[in-house]
Amino acid sequence: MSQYTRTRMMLWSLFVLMLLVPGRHVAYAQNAALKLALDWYPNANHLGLYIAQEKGYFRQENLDVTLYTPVDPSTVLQTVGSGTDDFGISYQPDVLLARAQGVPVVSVAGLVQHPLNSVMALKSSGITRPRDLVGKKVGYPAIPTNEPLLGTMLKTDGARGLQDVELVNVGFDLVPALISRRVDAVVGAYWTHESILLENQGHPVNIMRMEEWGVPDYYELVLVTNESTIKSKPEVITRFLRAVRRGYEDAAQDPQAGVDILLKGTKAEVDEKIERPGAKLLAPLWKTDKTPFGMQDAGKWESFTRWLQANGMLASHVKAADAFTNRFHGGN
Amino acid sequence: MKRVACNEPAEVWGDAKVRVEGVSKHLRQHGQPFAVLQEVDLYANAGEFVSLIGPSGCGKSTLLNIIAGLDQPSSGTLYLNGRRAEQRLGTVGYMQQKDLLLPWRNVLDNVILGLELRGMSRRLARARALALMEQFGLKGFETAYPYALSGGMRQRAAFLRTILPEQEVFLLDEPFGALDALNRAQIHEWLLGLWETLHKTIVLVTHDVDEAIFLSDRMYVMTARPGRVQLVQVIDLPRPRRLEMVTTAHFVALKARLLAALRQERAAEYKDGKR
Amino acid sequence: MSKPDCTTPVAAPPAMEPRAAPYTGRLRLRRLTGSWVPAVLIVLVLLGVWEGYVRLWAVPKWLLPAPSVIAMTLVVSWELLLDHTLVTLLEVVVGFALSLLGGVLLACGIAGSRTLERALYPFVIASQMVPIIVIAPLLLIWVGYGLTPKLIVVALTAFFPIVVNMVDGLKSVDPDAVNLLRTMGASRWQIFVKVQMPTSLPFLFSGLRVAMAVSVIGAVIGEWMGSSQGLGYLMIRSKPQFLTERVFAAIVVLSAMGVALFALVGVVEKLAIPWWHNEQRQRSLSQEE
Repeated sequence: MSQYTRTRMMLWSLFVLMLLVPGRHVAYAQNAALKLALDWYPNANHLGLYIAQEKGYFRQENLDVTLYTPVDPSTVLQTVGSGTDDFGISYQPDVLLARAQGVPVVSVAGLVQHPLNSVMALKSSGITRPRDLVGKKVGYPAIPTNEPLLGTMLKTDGARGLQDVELVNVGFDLVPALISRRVDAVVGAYWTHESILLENQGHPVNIMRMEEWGVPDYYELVLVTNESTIKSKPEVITRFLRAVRRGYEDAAQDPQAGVDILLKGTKAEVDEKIERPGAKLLAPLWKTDKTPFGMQDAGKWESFTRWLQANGMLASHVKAADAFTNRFHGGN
Repeated sequence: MKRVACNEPAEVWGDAKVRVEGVSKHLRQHGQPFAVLQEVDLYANAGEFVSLIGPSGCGKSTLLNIIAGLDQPSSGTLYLNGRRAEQRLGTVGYMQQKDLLLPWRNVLDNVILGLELRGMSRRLARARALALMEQFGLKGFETAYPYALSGGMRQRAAFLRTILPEQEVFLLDEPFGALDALNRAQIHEWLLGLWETLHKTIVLVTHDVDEAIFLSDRMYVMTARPGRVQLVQVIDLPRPRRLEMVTTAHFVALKARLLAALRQERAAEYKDGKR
Repeated sequence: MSKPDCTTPVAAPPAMEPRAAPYTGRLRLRRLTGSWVPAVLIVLVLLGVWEGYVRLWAVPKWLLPAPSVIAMTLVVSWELLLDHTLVTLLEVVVGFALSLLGGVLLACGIAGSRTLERALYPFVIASQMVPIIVIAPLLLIWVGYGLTPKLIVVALTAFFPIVVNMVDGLKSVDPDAVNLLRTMGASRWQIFVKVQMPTSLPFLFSGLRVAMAVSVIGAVIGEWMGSSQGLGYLMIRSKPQFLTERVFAAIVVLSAMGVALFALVGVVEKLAIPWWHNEQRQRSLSQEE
């Protein structure tokens, strides 16, 4: 599954109308109803959430949580920022870009501790390292951050940078583009999802991981909320994160059982043949050196922010420290 | 099915420009065949003005369509210009009730349509048409479009279009039906004047008895469906015809005879339960 | 006009007054106030409400930019917008031209032959039932990335209204007019060129206006699926950067382009079939009398 959205129908007027609805004022009751916007259709990345739902962790915290995938997943930060959604799952780069434009979102937990985004090429192409991409076509979805990511990888491996490759916008169909050989490699594909998809189709791939090629380590998926929730309902966040943490700890221990729950929770909409291997690959990523699960490393935020700014993607006024918080991880 | 004889010697038929011999036309409706025309005999000599009248639905228009070639008879033969004519399209000029001027062409380009279809160059055709525009009362309207013309002018334009290809025979299907009485009287005079210079054979279909008598040399009265020739009447009014002839005794007598024939037809229809 | 006198020699009948269509000053004013002024007023009111709402409720720029902000973006980023506009414009115009050519040919075939109609028409209709959102990515795989798939997307969306309208137009020919030409000895081809084609033109232009509108939409969708240039591309590129005002600016330019092209078709129509409008005007004026 790619990091970003695929084919979608953008009904802008509907989107604007939706956002014109003023932020919901959640009644501060014992039992809080919360909405969480997923970053994509349910998949192995969300195992902990579904486990928390199924095993009653949310209920035990007096939380009534609705998990859903928005029609247009790229709007998650906007819906969370405006208060329409209480929580959302998004990406560390996007959180920083949003904050640069004044969107009041803050990351409260890191769900996936390392990049899932990677560069992939068919094994048959013989491309094993970024240097091999020089003079070739690389497909990418039209998400701007992929460009400096690829550029850094190339430079680290001795090439000049982006000018050595031909970037082709293939929309969100990275897998078909690669299989049909319209491009020699793709960036923007997850090594825990697209790679499995390709292998299942009979096209094994070589994977080049971001953090191995000069890109500062960053969180692929983070859990975000908005500043006003932090101000007005901090203990709801604490309760919520507690339940989430328990869910992911269970997932890390027994990923396959987690996939069973995922299948049940999504009424078998997910592709088992991808999620089971995917869960296996993800499980190590949920174990951090820092306990509890979800605590964010300030160093990762700082270094990645600086890297974005150095590549001209982020305004200099954005402070990493404002973009995340570990305040809500206290206690068990 | 008795035919009312007319006093026409048979040898006259040989010279006719238009000869309709025993033409019948059957159609099928709900699986049942029914006759529209039954053994119609008709002829028109060169330069003659012949009219055809009859009650509505007697097949007058069908007969004209057959003569023009749009339709084929179920039985019988047609002769045009002295020859047996199977493919008749384009042989005779046909002016219908609707002027059918093409709205996207100006008046001049409309009237040259017949010539254009025969392959004449537009330049030549336009020149030929322009020479006649005044006579047809269309002077000054060459570049006008049909929507800007009055009803009478449109009919005259349609008429010009019909005669420009210079065929020998012209069929007119109630061409003046849409005009009011005043305009019609004017146009009758004008038509006769034109016809006298052109020397063409004209077959006119109308339901206006006065018009038929005024214009023609001979008249065919048809029965109700299935149409047959009921009566052939020679109109021996002097030529050139004048409007004042309409009130002469001779005219009135002719009219009385024809109306009686038509009324008789209608009575028979009522008797047969057709109405 | 003299009273009809049956003793006058046969000459040209007295010229009768044609039903001309004079333009009075009163009508011109009514036409003017009736046309664009109310629409402009409505737009201005809506913009005012929008601006007021954003300011009074302090709606953030990334959520819903105010018209003033969008206007500023249009001015500041005009070069960027122009570059992308030209690309999208090219896709629209060329794609539209392709659909026009293909659509007219297809319509002539369908209207001319019963066999062709039965064979092709169902496909024409079915082609519209599959959403273009599904077809576009497949096109990218088959045809590659570049101008061609966008042109195909535009042509696919635009040819349908052209074909449907033109077939209707060709079939709406007056059968009496056809018979008239037959009595004049016209061949089938002559009838087609001289009567059927002119009859179908007003219908065709109706179809062209719709086709132009959907061409613009088609071009944008094609760009969303995979492109490196164009207003659609600019929109999807600005969204992850939360530059909502740029997205709106692109929308404004796109709308303006669509309206301008639509009006252009109207102008061409007035030039190509002036008789149609005169006839319509004539009819409405005589109703007013």
